[in-house]
Amino acid sequence: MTTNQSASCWVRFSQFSLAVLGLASGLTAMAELPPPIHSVEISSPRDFGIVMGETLSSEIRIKMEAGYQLEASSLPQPGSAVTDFLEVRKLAWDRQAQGKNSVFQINLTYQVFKGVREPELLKVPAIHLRFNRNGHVVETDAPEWGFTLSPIIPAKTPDEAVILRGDLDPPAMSRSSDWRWLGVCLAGLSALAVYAAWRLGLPPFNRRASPFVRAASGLKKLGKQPATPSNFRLGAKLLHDALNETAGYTLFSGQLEHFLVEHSEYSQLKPDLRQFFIVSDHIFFAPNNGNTPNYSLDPLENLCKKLAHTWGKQR
Amino acid sequence: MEPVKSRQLPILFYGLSILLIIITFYQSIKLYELQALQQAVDHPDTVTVTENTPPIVIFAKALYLDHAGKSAEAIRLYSSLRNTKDLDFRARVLHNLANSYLRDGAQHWNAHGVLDYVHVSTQVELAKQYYREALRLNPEDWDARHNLEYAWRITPPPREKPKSDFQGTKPSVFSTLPGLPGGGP
Repeated sequence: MTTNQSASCWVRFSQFSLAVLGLASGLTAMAELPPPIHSVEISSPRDFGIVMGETLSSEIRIKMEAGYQLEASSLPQPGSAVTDFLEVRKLAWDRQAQGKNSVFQINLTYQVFKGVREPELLKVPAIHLRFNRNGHVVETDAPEWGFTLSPIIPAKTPDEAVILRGDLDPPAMSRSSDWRWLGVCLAGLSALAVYAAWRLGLPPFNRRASPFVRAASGLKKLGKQPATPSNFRLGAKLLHDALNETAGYTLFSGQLEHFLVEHSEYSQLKPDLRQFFIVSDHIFFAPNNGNTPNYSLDPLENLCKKLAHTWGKQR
Repeated sequence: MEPVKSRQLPILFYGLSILLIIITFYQSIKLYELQALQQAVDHPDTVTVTENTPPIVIFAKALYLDHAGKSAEAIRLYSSLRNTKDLDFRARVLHNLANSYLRDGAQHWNAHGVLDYVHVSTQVELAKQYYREALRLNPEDWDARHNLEYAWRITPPPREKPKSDFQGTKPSVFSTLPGLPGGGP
């Protein structure tokens, strides 16, 4: 018989023993139940292949007459040792009503600390439970149950040949969230800087540059297209925008005198400006009065350049 | 007159800017400190442990000392971290502390066997205690499970109590009490 075969035989034997044991203990519990308790059942999701340090859980279901309260002090508390190799890790219980009965469900998680060289059948001891209804105390035992504890280190390995598992490294320090925050903040600051530059006309937006220079640039581009009324209107609007920006308000022809008083540097260009407003009024407000103006944008561009020159001299 | 677009910046802009500058400053300092900490963890040989040394650096230093064969000093440093509140960190400390004890115990066990009973027994029991604590905090630490099982395997059997060599009978407790010569009171 090989080692594997003998191991599997052992496991089968253990499982069979457990089944017999569980059945026997179940029957015993049924036979000795006090009257208000109808049944006590205990089950475990896995009672084999448990190894050192592993946790194993059990579920105890007690069906009894309604009205009884479980005395929590009768339950083993988390952190307490139930044997020299078994400690309670978790405890949770609740009560559900089922008609005239109550069903108590107690979930216990144990942790096993025992080293073995071969699989061994170990017992989880019975739990003595106490219930109380108006001073009437009923006691019962949740039966003991068994599980198979298996070794981690192969049984036939001599002690001298066992290699200890190494030390743990210091925990890694995660800096990714800090870098992410820093990136977000820097991106936000950059966005604010761009916004401020745009708003204040700082480079690269250059809104501080002469509005007439920008208008002249626009007019030059427009001048490459056919001299049509619509293009002329676009060009005139560029010049109007530059004048409005310089004035700080929307400048109409009637306000030209006022503007020239405020910005006397442009006084020498008064005839040209007056002429521009006449043409502008004509093209925007009376386009069909018979006089066909020259739609060439060159005069507007020249006027823009003169205004830009004057603007530059002032600064 | 219709005003042209204002060139002033809204108050929200200033508030947001100040907030972002503060957070950026804080994050920069934090990252700088983390970088310095990582540097110390990566080069524990350059670190001198003081009261203000961060736990993770002490851990790295202890690990370095243990690997350098200075297990007593390593154990002292690990022990100083045993009650740290970070449970994951504490589990690591306990794991390594147990390893230090067990390595020493195993070395003596393999070299001298039961002849070095007291030393082996003490070291192995301490290792078992710390492995258990580590596993309580992190039951999924398979290395600790393995090493704890090994600690169980090499636990020396309890020494037999020496037999009493008292040959006489003790009819009365007074007969065994020392008294003054001559039977004086």
